[in-house]
Amino acid sequence: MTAIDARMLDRELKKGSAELIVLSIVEPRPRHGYEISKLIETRSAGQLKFHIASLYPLLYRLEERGWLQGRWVEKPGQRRRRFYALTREGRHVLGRQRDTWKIFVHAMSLITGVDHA
Amino acid sequence: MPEWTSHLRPRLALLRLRPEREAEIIEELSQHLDQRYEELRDGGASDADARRLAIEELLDRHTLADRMRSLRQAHVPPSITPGAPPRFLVADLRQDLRYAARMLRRQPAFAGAAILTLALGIGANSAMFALVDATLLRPLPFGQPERLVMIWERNAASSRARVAPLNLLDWNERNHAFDSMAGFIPGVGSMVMSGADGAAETVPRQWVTAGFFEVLGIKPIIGRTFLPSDDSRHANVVVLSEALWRTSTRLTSGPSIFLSSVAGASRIAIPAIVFRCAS
Repeated sequence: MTAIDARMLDRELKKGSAELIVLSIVEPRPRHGYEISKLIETRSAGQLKFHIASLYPLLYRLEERGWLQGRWVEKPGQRRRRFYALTREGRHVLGRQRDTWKIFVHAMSLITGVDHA
Repeated sequence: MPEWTSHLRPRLALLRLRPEREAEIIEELSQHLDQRYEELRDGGASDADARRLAIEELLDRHTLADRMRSLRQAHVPPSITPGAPPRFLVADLRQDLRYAARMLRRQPAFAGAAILTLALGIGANSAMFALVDATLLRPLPFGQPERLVMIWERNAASSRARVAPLNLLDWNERNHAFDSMAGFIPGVGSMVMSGADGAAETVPRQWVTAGFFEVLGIKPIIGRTFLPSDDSRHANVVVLSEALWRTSTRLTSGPSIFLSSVAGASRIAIPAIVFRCAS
């Protein structure tokens, strides 16, 4: 299966699935942008790839909405990095989006007869 | 490590970011590009290829700005320099209004006091202006209003008392200063008129002396105004205003019938109908 192209990813961004992906990635612990992009790529087995020009505007938007909180973290001997953590509101949103997504996927499988893995 | 700022800054320049925020974003994206560059190098790409592939992740020159344009941080208004000439009048005004609204919301008691003060101030000024406009600025709706004067009597009780009717007669006889003089008694109460159909109508009225309309320079549309003989024989005569003439329900029968109807019902003669002389 080929990687989802940028135009389709744009549509997904608009539909909100990209928000669900990013919120899920930072749910266990705060992560920086590069780590988020690599996790998306590896966990989707290379099917999904967020370019810089897509990922960071999304992170900033989620931060402005109060769903993520970005914080600069400095460690000895390393450059400071900006880590994104899920906020309390972001956790609620993630729960709601997961439920919505499950319903959507279930409905799609009923309509199309395609079972998700 | 390659330098990324020269690639990032032009892409962000299309947005109105605060300088410190722009520097933060450049730092963050540069770190991402550094890691991507190292990853590509570790994968066997040459320096040039790794650099090119990393930059390609920024997509075209406008994508980053386009996707950030809807963010609040991309619309920071330019800082205001005290004393500097205004460049964006509408934007500045909008910013001032937003700031004022935020401040008022934050301090509701102060906002209430300020609004009350403004309301009272505006109300008082409006009332004063209405008075000045009506009495000083707006000319009287008569011909040659600058030649009209109001005469009062001065007595022990008041410096502006009403003129006694007999005094007015005396003044009129000995008058050399004015072309003519006339008197009126304001606020004598309304008059109820009844037509032939039995419908009553309350009409405001005023008592005036003969020559009153001549003093004001008002000519009747129909008939004549009061004559000195009306005064001397205490005739029951009335002059109708144009407004009453035109708006009365009896007008449906026509002006002449209206005149006879009113006159017949009250035994009052109507010698004239005059133009509306005051608003």
